[in-house]
Amino acid sequence: MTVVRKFKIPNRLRAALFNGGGKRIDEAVADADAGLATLAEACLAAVAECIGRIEGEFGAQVVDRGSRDMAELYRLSGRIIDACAPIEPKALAEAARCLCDVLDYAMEAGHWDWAAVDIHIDALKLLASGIDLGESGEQQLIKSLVKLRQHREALAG
Amino acid sequence: MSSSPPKPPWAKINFEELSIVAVDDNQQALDIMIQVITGFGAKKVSRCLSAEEARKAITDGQVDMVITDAMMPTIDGYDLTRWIRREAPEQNRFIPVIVVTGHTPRRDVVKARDCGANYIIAKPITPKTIMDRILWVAREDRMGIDCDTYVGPDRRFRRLGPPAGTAGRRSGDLNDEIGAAIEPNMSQDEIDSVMKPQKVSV
Repeated sequence: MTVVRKFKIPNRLRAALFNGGGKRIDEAVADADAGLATLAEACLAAVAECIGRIEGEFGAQVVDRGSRDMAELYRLSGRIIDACAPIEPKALAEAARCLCDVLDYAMEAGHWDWAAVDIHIDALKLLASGIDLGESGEQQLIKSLVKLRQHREALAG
Repeated sequence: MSSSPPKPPWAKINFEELSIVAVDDNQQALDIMIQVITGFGAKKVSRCLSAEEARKAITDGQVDMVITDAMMPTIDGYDLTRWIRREAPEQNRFIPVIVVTGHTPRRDVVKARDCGANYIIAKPITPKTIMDRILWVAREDRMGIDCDTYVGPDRRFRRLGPPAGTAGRRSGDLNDEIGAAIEPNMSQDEIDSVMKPQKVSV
């Protein structure tokens, strides 16, 4: 018979956080935002590097891309999401997440849809280009990526 | 389960004495995480580029909180959390663990809940989201559960989202439509609803 032990967990975090002193919550968030902003330039460079590598290793012009390690493509997409913390547009992270969805589904199903991957690469390049699409334009782009994935999944049954 | 009232934005918090372990195999992501935590005022932060380094830090001294990436080679954030709940020194076994991840299909959110994590946060991280989750953990009084199949904070859930009275849930930074597919990413609100404990009738 399974024995379940239930007990109270001492909340050490609460005791330490609210012991007086420190700074206001809103000031702490503002300070963290300001600190994060100092990483923006490096993060922009990282995003550009990742997109460059994605295109160079998995773009439409790469003849043997089917033989490459797809986990690397997934990892590079994840790195883009990581690096988006201090930078705009936020849709960049969403586009990278959509690419992760496509890859995740493809790896599980064993069915690769390179056209879908190419569209996501183009979307990432567009969003990272600095061209101002406006918030509605960015959201429309993301909606289209989501619809594309849903369409492909529906087709695959 | 009960929780203390939410703190207003002008309430003071003190991170200076907290010992925090931050884990991510991506150096830049770790820099981002640590920049946020030190911005809050934390001074005792262990930088760990792997779960192995985190295990050592957790074994070597008292830790108050762990923030770990989910996807790491060899030992991922879920296995690290499982190790903390079952094998870490007694003083650190039930410390708050927050898992962060870039890709949030439902299966991974459930995995985070079932490995014993307190919360899962979708990347890219924002200081406000991290602060909210830390305050939620600090406010809640979840019971601990220890049985053959699970060790961690009580994971019986109802879909209520974050603690009552909490404002400022993250919105607009995750696309609503992402939740509509067969195996979708979960939005931060959806993640929070899964990670929120509930009472059940027996």
